[in-house]
This record gives sequence, structure tokens and C-alpha cells, in this order.
Amino acid sequence: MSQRPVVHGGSGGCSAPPRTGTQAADPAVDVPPVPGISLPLAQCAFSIGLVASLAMGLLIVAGCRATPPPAKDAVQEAFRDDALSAQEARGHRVFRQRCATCHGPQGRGDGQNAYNLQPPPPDFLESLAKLPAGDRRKVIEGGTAALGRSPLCPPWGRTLALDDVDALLAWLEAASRPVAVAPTVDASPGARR
Amino acid sequence: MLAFGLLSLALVATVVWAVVKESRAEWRGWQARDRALGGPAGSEDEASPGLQQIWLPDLDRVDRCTSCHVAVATPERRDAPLPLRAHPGRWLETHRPDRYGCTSCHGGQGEATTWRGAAHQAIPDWPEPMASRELMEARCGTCHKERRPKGTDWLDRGRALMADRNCVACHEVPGHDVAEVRSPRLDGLPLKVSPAWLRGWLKKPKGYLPKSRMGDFRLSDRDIEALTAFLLQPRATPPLDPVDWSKADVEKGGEVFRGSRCVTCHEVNGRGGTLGPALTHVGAKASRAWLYSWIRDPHRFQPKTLMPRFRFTDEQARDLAAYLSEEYGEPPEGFEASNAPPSAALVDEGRGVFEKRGCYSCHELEGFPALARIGPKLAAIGDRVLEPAPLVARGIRPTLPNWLFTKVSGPERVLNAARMPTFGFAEDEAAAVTVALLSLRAKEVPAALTTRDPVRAADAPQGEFGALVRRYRCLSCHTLGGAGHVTATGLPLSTVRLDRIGSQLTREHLERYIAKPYGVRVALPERMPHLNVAPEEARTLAAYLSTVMVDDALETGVPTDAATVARGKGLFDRHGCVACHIVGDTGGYVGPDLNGSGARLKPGWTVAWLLEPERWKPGTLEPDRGLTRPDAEALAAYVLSVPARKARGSGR
Repeated sequence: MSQRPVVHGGSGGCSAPPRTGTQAADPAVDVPPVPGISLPLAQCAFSIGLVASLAMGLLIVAGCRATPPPAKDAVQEAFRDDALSAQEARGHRVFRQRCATCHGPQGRGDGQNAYNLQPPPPDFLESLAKLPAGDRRKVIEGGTAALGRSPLCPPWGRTLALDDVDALLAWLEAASRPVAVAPTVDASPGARR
Repeated sequence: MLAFGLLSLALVATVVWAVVKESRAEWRGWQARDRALGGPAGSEDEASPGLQQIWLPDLDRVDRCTSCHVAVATPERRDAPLPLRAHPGRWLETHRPDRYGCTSCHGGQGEATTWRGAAHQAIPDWPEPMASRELMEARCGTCHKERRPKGTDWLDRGRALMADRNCVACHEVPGHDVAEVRSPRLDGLPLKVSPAWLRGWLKKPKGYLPKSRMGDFRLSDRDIEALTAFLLQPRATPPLDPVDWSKADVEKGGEVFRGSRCVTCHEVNGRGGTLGPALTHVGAKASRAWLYSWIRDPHRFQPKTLMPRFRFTDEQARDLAAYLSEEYGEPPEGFEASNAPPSAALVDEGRGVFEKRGCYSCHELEGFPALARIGPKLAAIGDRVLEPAPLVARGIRPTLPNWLFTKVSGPERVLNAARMPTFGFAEDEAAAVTVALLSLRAKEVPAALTTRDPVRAADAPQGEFGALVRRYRCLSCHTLGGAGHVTATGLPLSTVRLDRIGSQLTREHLERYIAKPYGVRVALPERMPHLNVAPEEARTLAAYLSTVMVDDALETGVPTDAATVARGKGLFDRHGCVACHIVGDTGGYVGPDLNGSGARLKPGWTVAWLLEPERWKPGTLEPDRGLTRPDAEALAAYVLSVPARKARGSGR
């Protein structure tokens, strides 16, 4: 894609015609010069073709120089979260809905219910790295009891969709990065009990 | 002769070129790579599967995507490189490719067999480029017509926001009903507000209510003056109730305000609910006399209001009105303008503005039709061709999604802003509305392939029960038979549905709770307001709910012998239920306090809840632990046997 000049619609004079077919049409095939036949007609046709393609090439170059720098998609920027990928952001929404009550909005172990728990929920920034990748999924799906610990964190495997667990794992990964994750736009209704 | 020779050569060259090109087609290369990964995905065959095609006449689609994406339905290829990777998640379980194809959800050119031809990336002026990851939920909405399609974050939010901001009042919107439009009648305005407040409000509604549902109409000062003159004309309205302010007690009014839990619906100083308007500056908006009459009977002024008619004594209503006037009487910034009466000469001009801007689409006023519908229909807006391409803003690609997003964010930012008000959506809200708008496609899919919300029971509750439900506006927060107010989040304020409440809770508890509500789930901010329901009314409501709002399947018992209860206690400890529930003096503040729950919960319901919490309350924090029925029964038996706490016991 990068080698091809990108032509922008709406910038005036350089928009490609709408295409409805299935295949992108390739450049027209030039008639190759046939060696051994030296007739004025063939030469003429060849040189006309050469001039025409040169002219077209020049036109394209000139046209695209006039195009403004690549324009942005305003709407897609609105969805974008600089700190989190789409999957991580989805995981964070799941986390806030189901987990934040105890684990806190950023997984620091400071949810409003954390102080009623013994043992208290850990700070993921410190604890998650110690948990092997396989155990992370196990603890979400089977609860802390699945790792032989206290049963205070319940199993979510039957409640959450598979994608949600994947997203949750992706967010946990992001959340336990040493740099604090910026809060994301809350796109989901708060935790419903 | 020469021409013939040249033509023949050209023909030969073309044929050779075509054959070479075909044999080196992209999809052949990918299928070869796929074979290298361990054989054609999904088939025992050693040979290449060849060009693949899914033909769906009812959806008018021919999708050849699986020619390259050969392994979409092969879970073992979860981590293979694209395009040989399996489809992520479990989407294909419910959206079989052979039934729905690929482009139904993803967009793009299904007939193409090249990466570029399939429009994986947006190509200028391409009729249907592939949906970007961000906007893909718009494609869900084409078939999923329900208000909150499952698993969508943006689409359901966009649809809820469109309903909340009354888009349907000015635009015809498929799937939205004009009956949902709910804005104040304007007849009684002269009795309620001052010219200064009205000028400030019309100039900038968000200056008074930061979360105002009304948009900013960008009115000129002259239009504001004219509209103020027109709206403050005296009109035939019910008179305000007489009141003697000399005995008003502001302190007591404050107690009424807090004791009634007004903040469940009304925000003050940035904290509280959003079902009703914020009251932070209400004393600067509404006159004290009007507040008194409103508190006594809001339905007399606004038949469609969500606010209940609290059973206050006249003294309580007077004290509360005095408290609101005094405590929240400070006008917000920009509302201190002249309070001079507007010029009567501008009344006719004001009427013109009122008509031109379609104010009566949302606000009822004597002498005006119910709906203006001054905006264009929104059906098919997701396929609108904007020609010439609209200049959205410098540096922003002139595509339909960008144009919609920019117009929704602030209509003044696009050319031809016309009459649409600026709703002041946050960026993410505007993006959600854009997704909802893009789901309104020109070409309808066959009805059999769509999903919709179940048709609502048309019958409003009748008789004595119905009158109480309307007086106390139970359906402003709760749902009953699918009816009930839905907030801007797309959900009702309360998660407690009344449809089978008689099978969930005992009649005694219902009666006690309705008369004197308290926080069952202690950490929940949205508590039921204290409506001062009279004892005989509470009895009537409880009796009706317990006899009519039941589900026979839930009317079962649980064994109550000591052995079962003891086994239930073991399960309670083993599952760590105490993390969220209080028993005795210990436990978490997430779910209900379980002390004395035998007087509150019915056994059959408790078992059903433990077995399938997500079925009864989607999104609940009660996890599905996959309990067996005997275990759930034992657990329920234990929970219902927990005695009430001595100190606070039955008094709550």
C-alpha cells in the first residue's frame, strides 16, 4: 500500500471514480514494441503511447503533490485510548463492573469492600508478576479457591463470556505495567448488583 | 495484415497475462501457506480448497473472504498469522459464516479476492469499505434492533442517549417511539420562573444544569428576548396553592430533604442521582410558592413527570420549599441578568422563534400540535451519500462517520448546522451516538433475521394498585411487564423488577419495606426514596404484588432440617460468601445483609437465584458458581435460617 500514491477524495480534482466491481483494475497493458517490424505506423503508435503514459504519470504526480497531508478520522480518534488497546479497554470495563468493588478501579486492592476481607485483595501492580500466566486465567475462571487459597474471590468462569476473560487478562497485563494506566472513558454503566 | 498481427499478439499477451495473474492470485498463495501450516483448515482433503464463496440470496451477499481466510472456523488456528488465523472469540458460534457470511458484520467488498479489492482499508469514495474495529458495532445494530443488543458497549449506549435526548421528537427514528419524549409542559412557566432565569437558561442551558438534556439552540440575544416574552405571557393554568410562610422552618425542611432521600434522583452540589434535575440552584429558578405547590402535587403541573407525589403534610411541603429556596437560592454564573419584564411587542416574534426551532416538539403548550418533526428522517442515515463531500473541518477526512460525529458533537461545526441544537455530548457520547446512527441502514435485512425487544404489555396497572403505582411513580425506577423508565445508561434506575417480586419477597417484608424503605444492599447509592406511603396503601401494594406479581415455578420450599442447614453453612463458608454478605457482625458490604433474611426472602426464589443469578439480573455481582440443585437448596436453607440481629432486628 505504501508505495502507491494515496489519492484523497474531496480535495478537488484528484478523486478516484467510484468502483463497484470486485477487482481493482490494473493499469492498461501497453502493446509491446515488436522487433523486426519497422513501420511508421507502429512507431507512431508506440511514441503516442509513450507520450501519453508520461503525461499521465506527470499528472498523477502533480495532482498528488496538491493533496493535503493525510487527514484524520475524527470519529475513530474518539474511541481511541492512548494508554489502552481496544481489548484492554474492554477488559477494564469488565473489571470495573465485576471486580472493582473489592480490587479497586485500577486493581490496587483498594475497592470499597477491600477492608472487609481477610486476607485483603492484593495490589496487582506488585502481585501479578508473581502469578504464572496459566494461573491468571485459572483464578479468574475458578476463583482463588482454584489455587488453593481463601475462597473470598469467587469464580467468574460461568458468568463471563470467553472474550471477556481474554479482555480481562489483557487489561490486567496492561494494569500491572510499572507505568500507571490512565483512567479510560467509562463507556459502560456502573457495576450493577 | 499488420493490424491483424498486432491484435493477435495483443490477444496472446493478454491471455498469457491473465493466466499468469490467475495462477499467482493472492488467495492461492495464502492457501499454499495454509497447507504449510498443516493442511487445508477444516478439511481432511490434501488438495487446495480452491476459491471459496458463500452465497446468501436473502442478505444479497456473495462473500469470497474465506478464500484467503481459510481457517476462520478452525479454533486450532487461534494464534496463526493473519489471514490464516481463526476468528477471535466465540462469535462464530452464534453467527455461523455459512448463514451470515462475513461482510454482514464486517462490511467490505465480499466478491473481491484481493486484499485491496476487498476494501480492508478505507478507499476514497468506495461504496462500502470494511467497518473499522471502532465502528463495527454499528453493523451489529442492522440486525439487532433491540435497544440494548447484548455484548455491545457503544451501540446500546448510543441508542440510550438518542432516546434520552429526545431525538425522536424532531426526527423520525426507526425503533424509537414518540411516547418516550418527556419534557416539561410550558403552560405554567410564568408562575414558576423569573425573566432573568429564563434568559439565562435560553442562552446556555448547561449554565444552570450541567447535565441538561436540552440542547443549546445558539439563539441570538433578540431571539432570547422574544422567546422570553412569548413564554412568560400569562396563560390559563391551575393556580398555586396558598401558603403562610411565616411559620416555615428551614431546619425542618432540611430534615425532610435528607430523610426523604431526594438525592437518589436529584443532584446537589455535584453529588446525587440524575433522574431528576439538579437542585443546586433551584431556589434561583423556581419561586418558593411554585415549589410548595409542586412538592404537594407535581402531577397537577406535569402529568408526565417521573417525580412521585410524596405523601407530605402541608407543613413538611412548606418547610421543604423554604429549605430549597434558601439553601439552594444562589443563582449560577450568568443568571444574574436583568429581571425586567420582556417587551410585550416581541411576543409575536417569540412565537415565530418557538415555531421555527420546533420547541413544541418536546415541550407541550396549549395551541400547538404535539410534534413538530422539523428534522429529516433518520432512517437510512447510515447509508447517506453526502454529495458533494461535506467539509467537516480542516484535516478531517470527509466521510459519513466523521460528518455524523462532528455534527452530533456540535452542529455548529459543520456547514448547514441548520436548526439542530448543540447537545454538548462528550466525545465518547458523540461516538456512541454515531455508532447508533450508522446502524440505521438503507437496506433492511429480512425480518426473520433480526432480533427485537419483546413487545411491551400495553396494559397499564389498573384499579387501586394502578392508582398507587402512578401516584408513587413506581415505574420511574422499576420495570413491570417491560414498562418502566429507562435512563441514559439504557437501564432502569433500579435493578429490582416487579414482575415476580411477590415470589421473591415475603408479603410482610414488602409491606414493611414499602412503608419504610431502607438500604438492603448497604453500599448501593440509589436507595429507594422515603415516599411516606400510608400504612393502608403499603398493605394494598404488598397484597397485590404478593398475589399477582408471582411466578408459580418459584413457589417451592427448601428442606429446613438441621442437617441440611448445617450442610448449607459448610457451603457458605467454603464458597467464601462472607466476602460480600454480612452474617452476624462480619462480612462484606456488597450484597444484602443476610441477618434475618428468612423474614425477607422466599425459599424457592433463593434457590433459583443461587442457581442462575445472571438469568434474573444480568450484570449482577453474584457469581454463577455452578451449584447443583441440592447444594443450592442447602445453601438457601442456611441463608434463610440466619436469625435477625437482636439490636436492630425487626425495627428496620
